[in-house]
Amino acid sequence: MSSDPVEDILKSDFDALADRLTRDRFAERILFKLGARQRARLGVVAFAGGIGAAFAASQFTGFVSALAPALGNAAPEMASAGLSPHLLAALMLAGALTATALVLRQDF
Amino acid sequence: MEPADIELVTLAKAAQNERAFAVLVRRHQARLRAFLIRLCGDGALADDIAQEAFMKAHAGLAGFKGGGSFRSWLYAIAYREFLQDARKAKAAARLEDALKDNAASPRTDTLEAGMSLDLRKALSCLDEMERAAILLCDAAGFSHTEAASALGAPLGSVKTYVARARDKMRAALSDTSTAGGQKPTAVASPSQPVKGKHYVF
Repeated sequence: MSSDPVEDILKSDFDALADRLTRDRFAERILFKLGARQRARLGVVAFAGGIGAAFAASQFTGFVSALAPALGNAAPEMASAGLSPHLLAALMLAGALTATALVLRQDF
Repeated sequence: MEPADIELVTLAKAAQNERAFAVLVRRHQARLRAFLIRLCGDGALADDIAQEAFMKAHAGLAGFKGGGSFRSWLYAIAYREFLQDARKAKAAARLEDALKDNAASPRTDTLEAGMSLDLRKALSCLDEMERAAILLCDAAGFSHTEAASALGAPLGSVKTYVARARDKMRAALSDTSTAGGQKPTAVASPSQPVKGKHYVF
């Protein structure tokens, strides 16, 4: 402590207040908000990746079929549900892109 | 041994390491908020400003060149936020009310519970810059150079603000102590419970 009573009073008050503020959950709230921004960014990346993958899959049907021949033969029940092989391929690629993004962001 | 601020900043910048920034938030949030609470006299407003400051610090971390300390850079962001907020008419009115409340009557706000009425009155008689300067230098333990950097003011001016603020506070506190007949003494130390803390005059 210094010899100046004004400084002593201010410092004592300030330290006591800061000590109390250390124990609330403000830091966690801030970090959650910062994380939310990152998660939103990741969502945008994944969405864009999915759209891109879907577009690519629709353009290279032969390539998709070569990668996974089973995708070329849609089960009747899947076809009736509107799940085309290309859509499935797009979903798989989107999943792969999302996983890659998660790894690159060091979330895992 | 805990890593220094500059090491954590380097890590956060180089590797986009959120954990490094999280350590910085946990390390500085309490004292930054304490500074803002004593500066503006409003706990909710102080928390809003602190939150915005951390968000901006996170977004602008690449702009921190390491010329000064990380905390003075962070406090500079927070102080600018405070000034911007104070300029807005609504916030200014809120601030004025809060400061009047501080000077006029004891508040039941838990953040104010540990602050003596005399200290409140003494702080309220300072202008904005004097209050910020004395809080940084005498309460938060900043050097004059760090405070100058945080407040964006010349070093000589900060020294003047601090000296003037000390004189004003000494006068305000001695007025009260004269009335009570004793010298002001802080009853509670940082290690003691804060609730019900008061100063004996």
